[in-house]
Amino acid sequence: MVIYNSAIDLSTALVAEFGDMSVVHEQENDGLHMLSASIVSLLEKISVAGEQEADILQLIQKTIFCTSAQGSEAMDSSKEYLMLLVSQGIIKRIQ
Amino acid sequence: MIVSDFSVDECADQLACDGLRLNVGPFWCHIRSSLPLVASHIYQLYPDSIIDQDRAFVDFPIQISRKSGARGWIKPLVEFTFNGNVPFTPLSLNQSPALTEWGINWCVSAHAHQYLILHAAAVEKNNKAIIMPAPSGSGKSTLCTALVARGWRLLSDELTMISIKDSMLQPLPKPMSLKNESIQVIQEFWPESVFGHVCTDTLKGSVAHVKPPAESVQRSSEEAKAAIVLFPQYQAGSSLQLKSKEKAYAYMSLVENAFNYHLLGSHAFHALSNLVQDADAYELAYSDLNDAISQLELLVS
Repeated sequence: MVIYNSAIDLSTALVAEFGDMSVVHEQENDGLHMLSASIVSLLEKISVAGEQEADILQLIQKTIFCTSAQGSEAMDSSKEYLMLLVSQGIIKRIQ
Repeated sequence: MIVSDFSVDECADQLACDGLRLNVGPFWCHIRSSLPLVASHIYQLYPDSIIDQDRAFVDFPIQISRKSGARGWIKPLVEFTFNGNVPFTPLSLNQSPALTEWGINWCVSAHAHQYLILHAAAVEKNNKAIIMPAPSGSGKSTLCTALVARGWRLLSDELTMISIKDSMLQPLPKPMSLKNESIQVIQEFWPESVFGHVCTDTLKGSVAHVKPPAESVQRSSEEAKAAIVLFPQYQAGSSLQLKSKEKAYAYMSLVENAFNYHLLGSHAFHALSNLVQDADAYELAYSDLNDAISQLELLVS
């Protein structure tokens, strides 16, 4: 089972929204990120324990692509996006 | 009492003997120096600043003096002393006015953590302040000085101080620093301006300071509200281009230019979020100072 979690601890972060962009300040390590508001929404929906890959792909579809379309093409786009978030250190694979 | 109530000789005597307790923005500096270059710098560029020789408490006790030792006979050096410590390497005697200014800036940026301090210029007109964070060479100080020449109030040409309580800007109207070609540009643009000694061969090239207008100094306790965050960029031969920037970009850029964001943590976050939320952000490419000023006049009209 593959589980992903947010690499940014939003429970201790401060978030300022400016239009479609968010500035996230992590108080614990004083990190600062600029993310799109939709990514912040996605991170907020990820549970503390993390999400299974299938669940997080669905969350990406709903939150980032605003669609509930099924099918391999939609899933491929979500996978690609998940890999992008992982490569940028926004989401991490924990298991 | 203000500095110009003294004669130049009295000013030099005060600096050399008991020192001068000088008001700079919200701070008090106690400056001691027997160097004629420092005395003439203070007398020429701080004529409107309040002095209070009976004042017991000061924020920054400062001394600018000749460095002792044999090398001083070959090439005279000066050192900046703060509270008995020497935080910088000594510079040549010719650079003592610049060392005075850089030293005061260091005192503020290293100690005044009741403010969020940005490396940025700030000016105000019609109760609307413009913050200009920009890297060296972007034309920030030149544009700031040119705006001041056209009647804008100088808040600061180097250190923008933001109240962590209400995000208002606290003025620090010190002499404006110009480098290299900018010195001649402003001398031609603002013939009435008062320039101090031109310090040559500094790490930044030639550096000279310009006296801030008396009105800016007299209004140094009057805070200003930021209305615009501006990213100026001088580009020789370019036409004027004003481009709107996202608030999040403005926020991150201001953080990159902050001296003490990491020290203030959530206080800085909230102060800056509130400031950026209420301000517009622009990038301004310009080659002609008059065009740039006309554009900025429109933005604050």
